[in-house]
Order: sequence, then structure tokens, then C-alpha cells
Amino acid sequence: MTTERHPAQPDVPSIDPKEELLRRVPPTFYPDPEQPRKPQWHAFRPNQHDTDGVSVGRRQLVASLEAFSYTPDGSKRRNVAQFRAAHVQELGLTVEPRPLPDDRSHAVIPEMNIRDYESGGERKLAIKEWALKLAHEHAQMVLVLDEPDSGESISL
Amino acid sequence: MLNSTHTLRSSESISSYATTGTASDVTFRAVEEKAQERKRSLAVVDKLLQWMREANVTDTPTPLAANIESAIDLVVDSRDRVSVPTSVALTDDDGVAFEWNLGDEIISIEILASGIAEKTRFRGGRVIEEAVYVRNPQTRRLELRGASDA
Repeated sequence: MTTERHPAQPDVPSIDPKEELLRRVPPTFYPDPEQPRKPQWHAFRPNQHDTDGVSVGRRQLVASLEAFSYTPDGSKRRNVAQFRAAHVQELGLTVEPRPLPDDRSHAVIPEMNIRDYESGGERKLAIKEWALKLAHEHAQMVLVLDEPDSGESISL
Repeated sequence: MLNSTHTLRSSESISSYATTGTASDVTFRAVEEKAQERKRSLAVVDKLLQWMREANVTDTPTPLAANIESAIDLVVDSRDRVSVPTSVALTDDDGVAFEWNLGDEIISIEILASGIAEKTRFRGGRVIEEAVYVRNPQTRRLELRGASDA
């Protein structure tokens, strides 16, 4: 882990390729119990809140997986998937620290933003392919809720 | 609307599982697999209904609940021709996404809004097809609005 400071974000260390990143995954149902619990590629598609890139959390800066599983407004709980910063960089993408007043762990993948996605064309196709690779090849579920928004969870 | 209307009921988009073996094995396995498929299809509808109940916590229907209703229509309309998806998920934009993992090929259908769906087909990690489907108010089925081979 590096302790180097990001020039634009003096309060947080820069992101090391070996660093583990987290992404909240909406409720998912697998009709075939034999299927592995992989997140769908949609879990990595930028949503309407991802104007400056897909939001992720930095595991070394989150208080706990349980705490991270809550959406920023605290109203819902999500499953949590984990992957390494190096996996993002292998795709030719970047991860930038973007700490928020109430969330020091917040970072973004700026190339995967909702504006480019909604503009369509080649950018949209590229974002879909990046999302598929992150979800299916690199991400591992590290927290799975038994039921959406329930208090039950299994840390993996 | 395109002249050659194309609906998601068609089986050409989504592969079914192949059966192999002797004639009797084929018959037995086909019946068993059909029963399993039916059970899993019902489980998908049950899960979607559960999510819809949870989305409708107030008397005012939510966009998510309307999208889940479209998703249920899709499952019910296509269950005799399309295999059960590998996974079904809600999205952070109040949508519903189905995904079929067919080895080298992955197909997804995302309900973007009530009566509007986007299909994406990946092969070898690359997008090879995108298409938008819109519900025909007369037939109540999702029909192709436009397709692009990537």
C-alpha cells in the first residue's frame, strides 16, 4: 500500500494497483442454484448518479463491508463485489480518488461515465465491454444479502 | 415500425440447452429439464413479484414497480420459447436486467422503462448486437424498434 498523497486530494493516499476496490451490486436472483454468484455486467454500467464515472469504494478506507453495503443515502442495502485497481488499469482505464465529505473511500473510473454511455455509439459499446470484463472476469462477491434490504448478510 | 416485425418471443435469439445420449435418455432428460425450466421460470416470477411488493411501499406506484411488471410480462410471454435466464437483477436506475450466460456468448435484456427494453449480445467479450424493443400496445408484446450489428 502506498502512502503517497494524491496532488488533488491531500487527505487520501493515491491508488495502488494492488488496492482492492468495491462496487455495490443491486439485488440479484440466480434461478439455477448451480450458477456462480457473479455480478451482472449491468452492475458496472454507469447509472444516473455516475456523471463523473462509475463510483467505487476503496476497501482500505471503508469502515467495514457492512457499512459500505448501504447506499449513500442510507436507505437501501446492496451486495458488494470486490476487484483490484490493476484490473481496471489492464483495460486501459484509470481510477481516481474522489473523496466525499461523508465518504473518504469514494473513487471513480472516469472513462465509464453516464454521459458517454448515453451518447451511444462506440463509447457506449466500449463501456459495455469494460463492464462485462470487470463483472465476469475480475469481480468477486464479498458480501451477499440473503434478501434485498434485509438485515441478513453473508460476508465471503 | 419495421415491416418485418420481430418479437422477443422468437427463440432465435437465445439458445436452448442441447440434450445428448440414447433415445430413452433424451426423452427422460428432456422431460426432467422441462420440469426444471418451468420451476425456475416460476421462481423468477415469484422473485419479481417480491421485488414489486417491496417497491410499492406506498399507494403510489413507483417506476421500478412498473418496470418489474414489464419484466414479468416478458418472462411469461417467452417462457415456452426462451430458456430461463442465468440471473435477474434490479438496476440502480429502477430497471430490471436479465442475463443469459451461454458460454462464449452472453445475452442481456434490460427493461429500461415500462414497455422499453434493450438487448445486448456479447461474443468473446465484444458487443456484437444491440437492439431496442418497445411494447406494441395492441399485442402487448415487446417488438424490435431498431437493431445494430456492432
